[in-house]
Amino acid sequence: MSYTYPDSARPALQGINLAVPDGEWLLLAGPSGGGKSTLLYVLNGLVPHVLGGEVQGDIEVNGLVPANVPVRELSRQVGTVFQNPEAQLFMLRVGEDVAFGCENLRFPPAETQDRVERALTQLSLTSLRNREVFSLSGGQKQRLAIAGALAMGCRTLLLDEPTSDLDDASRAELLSALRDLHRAGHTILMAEHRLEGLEGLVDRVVTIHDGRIAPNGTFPTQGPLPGRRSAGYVADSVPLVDLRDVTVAYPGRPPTLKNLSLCLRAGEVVALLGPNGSGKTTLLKMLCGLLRPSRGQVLIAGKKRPSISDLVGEVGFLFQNPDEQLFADTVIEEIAFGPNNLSRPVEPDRYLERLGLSRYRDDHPRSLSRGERQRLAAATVLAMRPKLILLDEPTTGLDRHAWAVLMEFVVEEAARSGASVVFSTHHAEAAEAFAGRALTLAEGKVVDDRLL
Amino acid sequence: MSLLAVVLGGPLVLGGLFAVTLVPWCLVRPPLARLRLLLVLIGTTVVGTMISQGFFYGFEPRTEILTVLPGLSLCREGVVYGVIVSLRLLSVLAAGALVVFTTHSSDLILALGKLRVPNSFAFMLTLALRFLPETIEQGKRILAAQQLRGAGGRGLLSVFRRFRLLVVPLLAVSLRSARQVALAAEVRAYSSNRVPSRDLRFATADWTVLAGLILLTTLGLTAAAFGHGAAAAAGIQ
Repeated sequence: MSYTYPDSARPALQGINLAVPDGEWLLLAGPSGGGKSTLLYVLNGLVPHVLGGEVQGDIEVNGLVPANVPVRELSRQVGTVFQNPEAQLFMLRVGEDVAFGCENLRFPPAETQDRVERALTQLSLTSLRNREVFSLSGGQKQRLAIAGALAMGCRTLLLDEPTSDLDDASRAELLSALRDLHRAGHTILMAEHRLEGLEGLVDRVVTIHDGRIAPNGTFPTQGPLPGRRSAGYVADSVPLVDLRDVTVAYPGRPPTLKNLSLCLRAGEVVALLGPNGSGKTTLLKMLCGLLRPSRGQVLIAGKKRPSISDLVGEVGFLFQNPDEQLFADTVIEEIAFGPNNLSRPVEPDRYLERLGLSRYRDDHPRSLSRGERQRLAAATVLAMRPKLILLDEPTTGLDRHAWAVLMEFVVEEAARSGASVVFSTHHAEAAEAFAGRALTLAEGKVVDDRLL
Repeated sequence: MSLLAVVLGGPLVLGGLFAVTLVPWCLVRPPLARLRLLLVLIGTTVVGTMISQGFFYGFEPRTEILTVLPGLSLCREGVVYGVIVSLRLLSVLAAGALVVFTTHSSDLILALGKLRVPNSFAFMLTLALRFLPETIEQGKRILAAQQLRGAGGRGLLSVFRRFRLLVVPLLAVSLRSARQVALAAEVRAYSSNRVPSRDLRFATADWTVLAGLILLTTLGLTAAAFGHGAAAAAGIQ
């Protein structure tokens, strides 16, 4: 089987031969952009019905030929769960969202309610039935998406990097739910580049690279990271960040940070670990002046209780989604934007060369791939020469190779200018490879602080 | 309530009407923080309208009670009129807000379907409610990222510039996620004539409330006809 997207010259999939027996849990491994998602889209009919193009070769899914059957019909056979838990839930409450697919298929109300009940039980979501969807954790949202597919009657599940946005606890919870479904006889095709913990679970692994199935069928091993530890901080330097007994609380809710004290010195590279909701993002927001504590002392880059405008040029922030910080018309302008605003000298071409983006110099930033956009966004932050660089989950949504390249670049540039780096992550491996110090947060408190 | 608020007149009668709308509010026991907000809103509405009407009441007679500047004086008829206007407004708002406060958005949207509002419109509304909080967060992050790269500045020109800088990435991000949402809806067999698995029906309590409201409206209309109406109140004193 081969397939080429309508606006592309290169085939996304080429010469694929694959048979998945009923009840198998198949892992599709391989780098981002290799064709894993496209293969799933061929099976659920999004290719060619929605995404266009022409599929060559023979495909059969549970006796149906996807190209000849509408997506709606296929959706009763194969359920699809996407990477982003946010973008696939439609209704406001849990029970209503599970019912959504059944209502679309025009099942009688009583039957829909029956199916919803069974799906909620199967995914252990019964107690959350009336909860608001937005209040769920990432793992619960992914389970909810699976429940919605099961309620429609699907025996086969297509999962497109379902765990890549999840923290360790949520991920473990989702994997155990999948193990139960697999035991109950469901067929699972799972594209994933986070492979930890999967080796004992899946029946078989297929690696897809450049649109082809790699000949080697064994479980892929992960090589060492290009780790580049920071040289460490200058011991007698003035603290760059000094937080004392800081509490952040919103009215009517338990505090997100509780009596937190933290001292950071120039040149330190710190990993922030801890489950979702432990206060990592709140701490990062405070370090860039976006949020001020309800109690406690804050000193950042010599400024007391700074607001964001006090920290312009002193602090840089790289968000999870690079598209939130790219807005210029060309790649080169994007890098020069910040330094030009502050009349600071900048050599944009040096960053492009270092990142292998020189050939895109005059292209639109949004024409780059996700990994490239993330590196460009990092360059726009570093070009400001900030004293403190903050990164929110830089390892999320990127494959291991892509985030390793990104982190290596940031740590290397920070070392050049003597800046400190604080990054939140749920990859212990990334902390090991790039940080000199790891802080673990739980329920708004530092529960572990150690040098690596 | 709205009908009564328009046809009835006189501060005492309207005060009574407002008190009636507060009865269900007491039954639903709003949280203290919201109650405080409500009281502030009521207070500022009443006092603000009393003062503005007191000064700018344009009808005769005018009994001046306080002269601030020559030609600018507070008159008693205006203050009374201000009370009437604000009580009308508050009766309508309190009754309307009660519906929104006690009904889950999902039920409101389901009710729209019952009122024969097209399903695709109701679905759009649901999606808007579902994705609004995230879009606001995205907007905040975009502004923060730009500010940290020195895109701040004051003055009208920089406000325009920042608006453009905000809208471009916000649209790009929203379009990208809209595409994802569309694919996800497709594999959940999205159809514009969905069969809702839940139904909204009038229970005994709903019928009782409806009957009570009809009774109240009839009483009110009768009262208006017999001398407590807005027209009669206009000639008060």
